[in-house]
Amino acid sequence: MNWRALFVGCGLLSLLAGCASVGKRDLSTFYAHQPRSIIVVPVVNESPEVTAPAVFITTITVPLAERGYYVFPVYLTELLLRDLGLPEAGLVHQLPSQRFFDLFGADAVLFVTIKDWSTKYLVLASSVVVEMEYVLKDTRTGTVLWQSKQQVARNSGGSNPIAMAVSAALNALFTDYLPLARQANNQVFRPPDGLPSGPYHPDHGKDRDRF
Amino acid sequence: MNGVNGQCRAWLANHYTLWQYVCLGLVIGAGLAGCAPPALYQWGEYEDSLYRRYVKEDIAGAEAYLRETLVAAELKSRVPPGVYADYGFLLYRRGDYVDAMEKFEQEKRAFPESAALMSKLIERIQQQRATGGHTEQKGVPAGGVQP
Repeated sequence: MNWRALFVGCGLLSLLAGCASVGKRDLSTFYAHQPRSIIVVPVVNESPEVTAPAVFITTITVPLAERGYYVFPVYLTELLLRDLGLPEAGLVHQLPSQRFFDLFGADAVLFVTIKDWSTKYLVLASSVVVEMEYVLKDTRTGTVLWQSKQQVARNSGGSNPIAMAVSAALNALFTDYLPLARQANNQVFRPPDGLPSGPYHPDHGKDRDRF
Repeated sequence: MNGVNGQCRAWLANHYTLWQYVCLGLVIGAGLAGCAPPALYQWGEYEDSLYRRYVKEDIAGAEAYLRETLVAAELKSRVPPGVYADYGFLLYRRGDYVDAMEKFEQEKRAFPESAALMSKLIERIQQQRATGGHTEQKGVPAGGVQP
């Protein structure tokens, strides 16, 4: 019975997450400087988990490119910046946006900051959380084109105390943040709060009413 | 009799959980089918390739995954943005300059948005080769641009 309620809940949630349309956001600046290409620069990490940026950066390219934009390869970007004397994401985020046009020819630059990347324990249950802030800037003018925040949390625990104790212990050993990061990035660029479709997407120029 | 009954119950229990999984799969599938548009590109092992590099620090493994991704994508559909360039860059890093330049050219042709950067990288490699160059050991053809 519990299971059945869970299925229905999951089903409804996934439908809502994918399709629901809420509110409108002002994208006039975005449309005025509509980018074709986006460069994702190294991620600033405000969480105590040192491995967070490495795991996060592996999950950003696919969802962004699937929105129809040209996405510069993140590894190449990071190593080129490093060789230019910019090994720290903090330094990269302080560069004038124009630099990313001069160096890479990118139309827009995406700055991501990891706000939270942690596991919280509550006696026998645990909760894994990732939270990011995204800011997309035009490289010619430095104007913010779009910004968003995304949090994904997964709770584990249930009605069986022994199973909960085991799963909490296992989670402590192998917390896998990858699926949560992936889920966050899959959600953040989609309508109604995400990015309008880029030039490689069939909906390009036809989806204004969805935002 | 009791034993058979027990087995029967165990069978039912097992299959009940199996059905639950099937149901879960259907529900998720329905959710995805309803909302997600078909993918623009075949990404293959691309994310695995990135994970190899960033998390496992295994460059050889990353290159193998990337090569598989590229070959499969070329056969099936359009190669995703950045994949030629990314692969070319790994080739460059291990000294295979000729093939690296070819991949950069392919990226440029597939995605004109990359042209400025690709031309810069190609030009840099040509300069290095002209000067007989293993001058840049750090692995990135970075010169000519300053932060």
